[in-house]
Amino acid sequence: MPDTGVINCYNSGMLPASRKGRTLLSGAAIAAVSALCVLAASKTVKSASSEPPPYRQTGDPGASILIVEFSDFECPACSAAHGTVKSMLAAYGKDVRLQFKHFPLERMHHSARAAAAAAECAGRQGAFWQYHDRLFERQGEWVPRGNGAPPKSWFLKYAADLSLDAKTFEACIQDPAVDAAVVLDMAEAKSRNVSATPTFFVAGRRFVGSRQLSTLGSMWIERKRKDR
Amino acid sequence: MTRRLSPPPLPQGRPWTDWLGLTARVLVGATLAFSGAAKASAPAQEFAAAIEAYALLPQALVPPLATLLPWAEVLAGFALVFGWLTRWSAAAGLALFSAFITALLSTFSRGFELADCGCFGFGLHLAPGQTIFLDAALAGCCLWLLLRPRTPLSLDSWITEGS
Repeated sequence: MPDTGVINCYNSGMLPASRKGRTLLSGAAIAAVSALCVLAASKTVKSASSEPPPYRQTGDPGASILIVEFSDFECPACSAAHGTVKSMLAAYGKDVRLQFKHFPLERMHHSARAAAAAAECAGRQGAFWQYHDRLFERQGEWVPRGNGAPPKSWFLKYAADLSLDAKTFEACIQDPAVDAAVVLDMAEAKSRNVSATPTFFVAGRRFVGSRQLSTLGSMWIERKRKDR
Repeated sequence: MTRRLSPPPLPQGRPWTDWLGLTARVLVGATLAFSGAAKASAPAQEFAAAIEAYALLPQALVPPLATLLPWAEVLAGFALVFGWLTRWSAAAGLALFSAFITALLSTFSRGFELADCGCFGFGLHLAPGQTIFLDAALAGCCLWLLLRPRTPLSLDSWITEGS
């Protein structure tokens, strides 16, 4: 049998002879494998953010603190966070500005991408925030459960309730350019290693869910306001 | 001083229970390593949000737990896969699965059901009911390994026997 390097190493006493030594060496190898595995699974996080259309932004344009929200209209946690965001915008007034970005979790929420497109179309007719509120507040109504009406009929109804032009709205929700805008936000979410909704970036720091936003997020905003 | 060690012998003539132990070890280890790596490689705030959803722990404990728990899972997972300190690793696995089952059952007893258990990060979604069955099966495997930690193809056998 040819003398391989592995056998040489094994036979030359490079591996510890004592039981304790072998235990420690094995433990170190396991720790190294664990670290390499986590490192390999980690994604490179980009901090670059694209500017959403003006109708998906609210607050003072000169505000020093920017909140970027990645949200999904079909997600119950996003609906729960909706009130928290509103009260924070009211509490911090001119100091904060909110940018809304779409991140429909399609694998779980099958109508979320269509809802995002409908909100985009409402935005193009100047009613993004009203439509956004309606989708969150009436989530129990339009989210398909069993034999309920298809979400599209609810999207059209909400558009009519807000006095949007029905023909323009219906044509818009089928426009591939609208879906492309949603896809652009989804790509940005992935590049920023976002996989849960709602995720907020408050002055660059990440907070996931309404609880983190209202507690740690508020503390972070207070600190930023003091630093000014 | 050099010491000549013979290469490991081929595993032969072992009772079937040893091979069952090996299967249990790899199954539990791979699950723990996968779930831990999925969480440890994602932002800690995401797993923190999953822990917060259980409403069991004080807020101050959530961030350190969200950072440390996934690493504990990865380490225990690889320790089991490679059969290192199998009895202790199985005990760690059993403790983890028991904690997960308790947390999930507590949500049912408090009358709320989570949409996602958060066990595999946000990459793989399992309903809490499915997770309880999976965790119970894996806890059973850990119990088996706790009682019969000697399995083939393990670092433990190399450590003990030096071969």
